[in-house]
Amino acid sequence: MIEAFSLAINYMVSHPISFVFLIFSVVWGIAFGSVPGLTGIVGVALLIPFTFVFDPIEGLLLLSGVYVGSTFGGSISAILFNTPGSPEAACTALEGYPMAKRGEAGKALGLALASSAIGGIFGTIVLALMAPALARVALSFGPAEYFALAVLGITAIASIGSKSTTKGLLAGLMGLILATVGLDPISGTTRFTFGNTMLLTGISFVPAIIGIFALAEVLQRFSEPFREGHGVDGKEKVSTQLPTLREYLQLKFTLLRSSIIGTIVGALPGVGATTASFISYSEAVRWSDKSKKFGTGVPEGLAAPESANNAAVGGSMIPLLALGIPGSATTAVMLGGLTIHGIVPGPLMMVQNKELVYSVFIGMLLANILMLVFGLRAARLFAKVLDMPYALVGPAIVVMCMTGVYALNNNAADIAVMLAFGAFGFALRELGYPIAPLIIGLVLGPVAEESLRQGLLIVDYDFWAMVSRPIAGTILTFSLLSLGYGFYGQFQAWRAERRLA
Amino acid sequence: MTRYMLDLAFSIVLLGVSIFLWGAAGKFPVFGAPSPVGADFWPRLIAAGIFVLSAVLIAQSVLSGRPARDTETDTAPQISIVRLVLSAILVIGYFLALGHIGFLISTIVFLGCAINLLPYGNRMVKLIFPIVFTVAMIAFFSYALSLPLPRGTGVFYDLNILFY
Repeated sequence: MIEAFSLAINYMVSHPISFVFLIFSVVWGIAFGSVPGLTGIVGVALLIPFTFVFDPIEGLLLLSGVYVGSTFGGSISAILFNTPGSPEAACTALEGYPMAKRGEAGKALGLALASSAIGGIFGTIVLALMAPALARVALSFGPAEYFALAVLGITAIASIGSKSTTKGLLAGLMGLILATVGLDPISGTTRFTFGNTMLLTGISFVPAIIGIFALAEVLQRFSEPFREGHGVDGKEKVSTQLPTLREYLQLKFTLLRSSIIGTIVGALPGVGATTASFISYSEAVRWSDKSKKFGTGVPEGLAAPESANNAAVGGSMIPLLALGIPGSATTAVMLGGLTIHGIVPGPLMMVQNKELVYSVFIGMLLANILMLVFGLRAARLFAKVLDMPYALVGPAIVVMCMTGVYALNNNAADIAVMLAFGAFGFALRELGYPIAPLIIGLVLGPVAEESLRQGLLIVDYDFWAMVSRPIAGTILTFSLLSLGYGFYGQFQAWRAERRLA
Repeated sequence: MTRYMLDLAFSIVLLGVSIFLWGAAGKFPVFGAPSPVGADFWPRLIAAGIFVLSAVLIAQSVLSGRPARDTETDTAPQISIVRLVLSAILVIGYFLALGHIGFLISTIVFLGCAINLLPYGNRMVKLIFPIVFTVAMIAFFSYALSLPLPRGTGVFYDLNILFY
């Protein structure tokens, strides 16, 4: 390994252009991540044709830098405008935007940036040291474990993160049922499409989250009694300071736990950073002593998804580089970039292309450090928009969302999905339903369904045989405990209210 | 309608939707031999969950005589219905216009109207902002990234193709 690292360092030092590529790619990634609808996948895909003219190492460095930068970039617009720039940042908006609304936009951005860098560096170190071993662990996860993981993600956030467990669970179930629209993943049967061909591919996730967060927010702001002022309620000058050492130390367990979750979930093929960020958010809620305050701007709830989604970047590279299986949509696009150069990722690549693989490790580590520098600058630039009146910012957000969503697939139907979800999100907010379980249901729905049905088929429909596997059983026990805790809390609150009445 | 009634009405709608979903799932086409974990298995499981939970919410609301405890209803601000309806009409109108008259004109008109929904004093900015922002968006999406923007149909298509 040391030999491989020295080979990679030698290569990068003798090719200083690699560093220029890294800087460019991180900035490019942050820009793509921060514009709603564009996402890191689009950023990576647009650069793939250009990598053809570079060395494979430089090409892969370019793509990795974009991946790292875009994962953080999404949090900028999520925090400042409640508009997640990328799906991975949807969870960040839940705590980041309330922080910005109470005048702590700078702190929220700084926290997101630092957490992203910590998670990213953690994920990359694990990737460098344990890629083959972790890839084997990831492959040992069967349908039962995937199902249990999905159930835990939904129940934890619904039962602990919401004041009404019933409403939280209902929101989660709404997300799950919406995820079933389209073709059945196992039999290919059409479900809930009602003859509409546009629904055959299911509900597009990016338009849905942009609608639920951004459009619903604009509608809400426009319908509120008007108070002329800033984009968010804070009147103070927005600075992008990093949190103090004391604040970091208070979050050390959250950061460590979320980085571990991010790396492991990222390494699971086909799951990715979005799921990682939601599961780590759920876990942050479960472990926090301020769990009832989540959704009002709790720093732990911001640090958790941000560190997890950037750790998942390293995690998702593990199955790609060690097994040739993409761990996320972005790494699937990167796989295409590798094959352009005639490189086939897999176990042999770690031996035959040591220089390339370890250059990527070093490049990703540097990209996370560069992200601190350029992320701060980008956030400061974006934060200036907060000084503009909402009469200008609100309509501009609508235009950006519409344009970004349209550009995603060149499809007006995606805009219709965004509008429908905007109205739905607005109604849910007004009725007091939490948004987080709905989104997590939408993300984890396909994973939960496929793994449950596959798992039951494997054990000949014996549910107990499926859930009694050690890992799956443990995770499901945690889910039941979460639910029990949530309903008990709700019952206690109801009893206290009755007593008062 | 009070918030309590809205809450109760929404729970009843959810109950109805869950029954509808259960029935609709039963009508999914089946290919080959039917399986206990067929295409309808998961949707029916969720529909049953929605039914039970919305029934719990209804019971809770009826028993306590007020809405189930939640996160936002107590602090939810008053809504300006007129401005909400106007902004919804504008957004839907903008969506429809994008397909017919293209990005350039529809965005300028949308921004020009939407800016006036909230009181804002600077007339010069109100005049310049829609044009500058639209041009910036076209420059970024169409020229810098070569990503498609709606061009509309007929004469609008011919006009828009001159710009992007």
